[in-house]
Parts: sequence; C-alpha cells; structure tokens
Amino acid sequence: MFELIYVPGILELFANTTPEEVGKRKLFVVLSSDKGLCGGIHSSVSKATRAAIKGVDPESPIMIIGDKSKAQLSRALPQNLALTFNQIGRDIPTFADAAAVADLILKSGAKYDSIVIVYNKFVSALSFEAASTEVQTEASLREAREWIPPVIGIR
Amino acid sequence: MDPTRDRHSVANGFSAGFKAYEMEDDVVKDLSEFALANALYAALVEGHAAETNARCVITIKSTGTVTDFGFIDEMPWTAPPRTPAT
Repeated sequence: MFELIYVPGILELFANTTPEEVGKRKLFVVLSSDKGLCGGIHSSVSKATRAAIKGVDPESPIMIIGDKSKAQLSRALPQNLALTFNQIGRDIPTFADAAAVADLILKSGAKYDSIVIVYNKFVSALSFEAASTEVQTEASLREAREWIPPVIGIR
Repeated sequence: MDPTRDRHSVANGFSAGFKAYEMEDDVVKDLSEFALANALYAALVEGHAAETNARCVITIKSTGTVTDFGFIDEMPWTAPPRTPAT
C-alpha cells in the first residue's frame, strides 16, 4: 500500500470491502517510461511483474506504459501483452494522462478480476524499489458482501 | 436503507453491509473508474519521481555534472550554488 495523499480514502474502502470470491486473474499495469539512461528502473518493474505473474493465472493480461519495459516484457511474456502505451511520462504526469490511460484500460475489453499497478516507488535520493497496488473493479465492488468498518477508537 | 444494524455497526456509526446502501449502479461504476485513474496517477507521479532521480544519479556518477533536465531548471526551488565550508 502506498502512503500517498491522493488515494487514502479509496484504498481504505478497498481494504474494507471483501469481494465475494477472489479471482485469480489479474490485470498488470506496468509503469515505466520511454527513455533509458537511468539505471535499472525499467528492469526493476519488469522483474517485479515476472515474479508477480507466477502466483496468479498465467494468462493474466499485461498492459505496459513505456517502451523500455515493453521491450523487456515482450521477450519474457509475449503471449500476455494486451495493450501498450508510449509517450506518457516524458513530462510531469498529469491527471489527464492517468484518466486517458484508465479509460483505454476499461474500454480494452480484457478479462480480469482485479487490477495490479506495478510501479517504481521513490525511496530516497539514492534508491527506488518496485511496488504494487491493487485496485478493485466495478464488478468486485458491487459483489462485495460486507463492508467491514475501519477500527476507530474502542469498539 | 436496510435497518439491519448489529451492535458492532451501531457502535461505530457505520452500516454493516456495503450492500445495505441503496445505490444507483452508476455510482459504483464512477467510483471504480475514478479509483483506477487516481491510483494510476499516484503511481505515475511516484514512478516519475523515481525515474528522474535515478537519471540524475546516473548522470552525476558518469559525468559529474547535471545537464539536460529541462523542467528542473525552471523549477522555482532550484537551490543557490553551495559555498564550500571554510
């Protein structure tokens, strides 16, 4: 889970909704970029994706933002690639970029039970690490049986 | 709203079931789409920070200078040149 300020409310909702049945088919959205010369930042997310896909449905679709990771993953997992984006993230990302990508993902028609976003997390001025966050889909939110209230104070 | 509230939920002031709320279908759709875009945006920002930083580190390591960072030069917080300690 990431601690960014953008999404705590929604992630809290996800943390407290239990889907009726947990599907094994994930959609991996891999975030890298088009440009190189920045160390192992692309292989970091590629490696994390290859490791993560071992535990789930081997036919899980992968969508990639950025040409560098696309080149790496199209060699490792060519049959899983569903959609790739480029020209995103060359400048400071905006919400419009994210919304456009989200729209294309939702309209792509790929089959999945939940979405896993694999990205690089800024750790310090010297290091980064691959991290992932899971987003529930409309169907799994609708099927969620129970919304467990968060622990606030004394029960 | 369904009045099936248990002790647990009354104590917290929350409804026991997510389904207990009467929602129009579009609300769940909007929520899930917005959540996806929001999570993507957060991850894009985080990834961009990590990448820019990694590129900066690599450039400094290999050349000893920082050039060609476009937008960083335009940033208002660019630090003044550091004076060596005496």
